Amino acid sequence: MLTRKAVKWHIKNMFPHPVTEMLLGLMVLATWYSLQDAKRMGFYESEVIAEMVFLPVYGILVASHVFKGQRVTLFELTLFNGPGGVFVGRLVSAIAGLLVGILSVAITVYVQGHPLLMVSVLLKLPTYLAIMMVLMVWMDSLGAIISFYILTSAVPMALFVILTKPYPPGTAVSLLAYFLSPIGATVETGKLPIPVLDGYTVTISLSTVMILLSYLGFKMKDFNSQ
Amino acid sequence: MIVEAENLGVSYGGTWGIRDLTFKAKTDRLALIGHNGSGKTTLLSILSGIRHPTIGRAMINGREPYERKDKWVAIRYSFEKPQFRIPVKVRDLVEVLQTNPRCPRVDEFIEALGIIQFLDGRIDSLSSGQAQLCNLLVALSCDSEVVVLDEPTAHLDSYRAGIVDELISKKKGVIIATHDFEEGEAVADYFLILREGRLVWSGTRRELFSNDVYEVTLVETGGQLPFKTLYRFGATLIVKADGDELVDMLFKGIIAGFKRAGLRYAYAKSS
Repeated sequence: MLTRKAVKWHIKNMFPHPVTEMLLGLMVLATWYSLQDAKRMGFYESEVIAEMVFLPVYGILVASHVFKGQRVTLFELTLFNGPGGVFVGRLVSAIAGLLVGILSVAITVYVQGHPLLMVSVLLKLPTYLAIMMVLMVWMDSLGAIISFYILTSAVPMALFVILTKPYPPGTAVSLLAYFLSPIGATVETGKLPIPVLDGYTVTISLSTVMILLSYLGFKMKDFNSQ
Repeated sequence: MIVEAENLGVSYGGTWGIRDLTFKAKTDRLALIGHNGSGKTTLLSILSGIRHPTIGRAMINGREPYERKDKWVAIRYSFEKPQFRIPVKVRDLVEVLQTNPRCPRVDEFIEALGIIQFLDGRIDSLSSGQAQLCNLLVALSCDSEVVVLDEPTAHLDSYRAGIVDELISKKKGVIIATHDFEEGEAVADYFLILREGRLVWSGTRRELFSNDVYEVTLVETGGQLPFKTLYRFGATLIVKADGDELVDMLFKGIIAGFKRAGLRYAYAKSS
């Protein structure tokens, strides 16, 4: 009952929010029109728009409900009898928030007839969640937001440059691409030494481990109330 | 409640917040007294279990609070700077507390703390005093072994501060940090005075008040008394005097009042 209250507490004011809704509409429209050009230009346009611009910004809007200062976290830990309820509340609210945006883009991609690309869009959910929960535990809110943007936008941008080169990247970069830039990795899967299914499996496994580790970290975290 | 520390120290990247603290206090309500930056909040963060010490150890009732798995329910903590960026209403907070089986006295405390007057306010837009009352509601209305309160009345008006002090003085298992001597004397029965992160005085109420030293308030701000003045704080003087003579001066209208010197004297003496 208290955990359910914690989820409700964290989801409050996430929806409906005018900025979130506006961004959601823009994201779906941009994905729709960029995919219409895919036959002529390839998937680069939609990759850039979805993976490097709209989804990271949308992710930050959701993350702002999860990244909280130490005093707020301390207050919530006392309120919900410890880290279990607070962590679950934040995790579920992040899932709910991300799911709306990611699912909207994924459905748009599917309707345009690109099922594999849709799977890569859906992979954004576990990876964003994993990054979000790790940053929530180990960084202050401003640092976490900046790091989240770098990891979800700047790094995929750098990977995009690497992946569009004619020579194939190494195993480590390929794994990093599947994790941080699954759309890019899917578009360029032919160049990667790791098959797409293996890449997806590693991405989901790594995300799960990261979320579990962040829970353990949250349980053991020391706080500073000053 | 038995609160003890052995060679306790907390370092913030090379700067010691508290250092070499060793004490043992058997008490219902412990007050940590000290000026800003004296290490009160650092010691509270150890006693409330939210952080580990760098060296040494602290114990409450024989257990190290930061090692306790049940610390979030056994120890309730209310910190000093209660500004929360939480976009929910006070009513939502109250609802959460009402569903928490460990918080049976929510309704009683909403009334006592005056929270009922701003139930529809959003937590992120409350005044610092109102936010502090919400913080206190969470700490006081739930069952726990220990309640740790950092400057609980720092943002409250004197009327509300009095109500809070009255509530605290009835509770057992309270650890409070304050730089308000009157508040410390009003609620606690064991005192630790900290200065620059070190313990400079500790003792019970009896030890605090058992001497011939009095705290006297003058009628005239620039007035003098025919006693040895130990310390002077504006119109408040710490003097070594005879109680009967002070009574006489009170009735003659020379002094506005007096009491046995307590924390103010212990604090000044330890500096």
